[in-house]
Amino acid sequence: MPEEHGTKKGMIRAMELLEVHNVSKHYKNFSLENIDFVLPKGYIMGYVGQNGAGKSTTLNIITNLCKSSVGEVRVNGITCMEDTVQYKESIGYIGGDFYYPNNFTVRNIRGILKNFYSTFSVEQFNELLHQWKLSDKMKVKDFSQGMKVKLMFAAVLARDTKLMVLDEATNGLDPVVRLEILKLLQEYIADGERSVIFSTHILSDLEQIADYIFFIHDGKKVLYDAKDELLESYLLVKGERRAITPQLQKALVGIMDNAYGFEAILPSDRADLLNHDFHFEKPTIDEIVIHYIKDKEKNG
Amino acid sequence: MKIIISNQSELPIYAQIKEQLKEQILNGQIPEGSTLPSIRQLAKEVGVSVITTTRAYSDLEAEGFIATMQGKGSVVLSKDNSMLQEQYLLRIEEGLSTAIDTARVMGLSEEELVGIFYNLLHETRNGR
Amino acid sequence: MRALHFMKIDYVKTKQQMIVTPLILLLIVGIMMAPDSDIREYSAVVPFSYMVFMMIIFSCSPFGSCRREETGFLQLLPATTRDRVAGRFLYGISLLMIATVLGAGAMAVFWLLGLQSSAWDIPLCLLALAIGIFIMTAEYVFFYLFGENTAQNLLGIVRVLPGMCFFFITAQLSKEIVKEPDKMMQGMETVGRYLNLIGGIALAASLIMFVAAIGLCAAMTDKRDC
Repeated sequence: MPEEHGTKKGMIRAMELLEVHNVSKHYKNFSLENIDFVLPKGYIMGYVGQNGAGKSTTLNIITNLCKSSVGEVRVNGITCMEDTVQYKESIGYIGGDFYYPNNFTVRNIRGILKNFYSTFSVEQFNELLHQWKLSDKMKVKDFSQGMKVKLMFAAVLARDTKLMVLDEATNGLDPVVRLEILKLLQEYIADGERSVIFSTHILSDLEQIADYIFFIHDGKKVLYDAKDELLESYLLVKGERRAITPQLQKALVGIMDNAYGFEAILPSDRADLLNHDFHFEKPTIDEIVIHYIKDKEKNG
Repeated sequence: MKIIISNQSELPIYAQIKEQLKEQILNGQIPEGSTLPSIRQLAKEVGVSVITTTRAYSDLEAEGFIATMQGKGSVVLSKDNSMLQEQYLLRIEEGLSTAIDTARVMGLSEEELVGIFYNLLHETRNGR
Repeated sequence: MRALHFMKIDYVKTKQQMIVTPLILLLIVGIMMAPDSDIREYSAVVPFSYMVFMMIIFSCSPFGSCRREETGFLQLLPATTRDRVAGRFLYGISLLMIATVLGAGAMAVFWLLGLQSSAWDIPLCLLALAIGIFIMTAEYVFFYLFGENTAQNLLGIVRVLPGMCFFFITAQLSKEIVKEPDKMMQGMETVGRYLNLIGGIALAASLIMFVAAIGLCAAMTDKRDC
């Protein structure tokens, strides 16, 4: 379908909010290699991978919590080197680990935010706190996980940011709060001027709202595309092991056996290799990811 | 206007949105000339990605159901524009082809099939 | 300006110890002025140097509440590394300023009460302050050398040792001076003549080192990776 292809290309060429160019980072026993992607204004990207795949490292490089060995990151057109203050003002970070000192009260935090961020609105912050029933006087260490995440959200939403970075922020939250957060993220990008990148090892409910998926494994890119495109590029195939032809064997990705058959994914353009012996359906991103990981494990 | 997304459906989500909107435009539930919610609005309401709703809208536009104007949103086109006419004809042809195929399978003669067609035509006319 | 805001954060972080400070000072002065204390052996420099000593210990505290995640929050704030490091140094030196004010207050009380005093009190205090700034700066450089995050493991040793040495040396020195003024005067006559100058130069030198250390630590932090 040529038209659809055209629209997608056009979108990628639209103004990019986040550009990550050839970023590498080397540790003693782990390397992040040649990470390269862009996220246009007004879209959400899911940065997916197993624990230890390099998700946090990438996000930390974006937020400038750590430096890359090679490569360049631009947020809204500028690098951190060019204008540290503006760069950091434009990013709102929400971590899975709570990052405020434990003996701080909400009041302390509000004071700091007000001192540092030029666009921070005390009224908006208070309104969000009120809306989420977060008390001013409580020490943050007495907050529940959900309250902590909401406080971090309030700190980001009360000022004018361009890019929201979430590092495993919805882990360990109950489904109600997760749903609230999904809505918040969609609202955040609703004006088409701001973008979200979130990392996670399990997509589940986040999958639906993601426009782009970047799948990283062992520090390297495995898949990167518009989510809808990815979902259409693969089929989830099930069937009996002995029905697999040599050609099909080559085309299948991450074959997983169970007592009664196998399950694997297959690039949609090789669907001609399937016959009536197989059952196929549309996969979820998680299923694509699982089979790719399986494939990597097997083939190094 | 209503849109229900099913994860069980074999259709991709953009196609589910597209088909449901199409259905409601064709049967008049979404009247011509009305404005659809913006791409971003719809994505937020339905809880799907922006690219998904963008694709649904651009498909609808390509098929002549809606026209998107910068800053004004997407408007449902009138039923007598030529592209939409074509869509209607296509639907009729599809429906009839299914009937013909089924008739062939059971070995029905062409006269008999036409007979059924006229009967139904007659019945529905009286029914109205 | 941002450096000052970072300094404020350090004060919020360590607010408990700030409450304790004046209480400790009162305690020291109280003990020294108790009827049966051997106060005659000490000079008014002691409470001053004790305050400096205490502040050297306190000045390391912000390094102790640096959990990995918490420094993340500070690093995310829109400011340069230099702002952040300078804020920490300002915290340290502002503590020493507080020590100076409180210590001077205590000295004034001593003088007013007609207790031991000598012409050397003020230059000695300047010297004590200079040594205090010097030690604090050295400790800070040491912490930044190992990184803000790992520093807290070393905190226990680093923060007590130099301060302790400093306190005993100054206390002992002033005791000697009071005990045998003539001998000390002779031995240190030359030094004594220039003590005013020495105190002033030492203070100036320590301040220069302090400023240079900010740049050095910022550069080290910028260079280091997580």
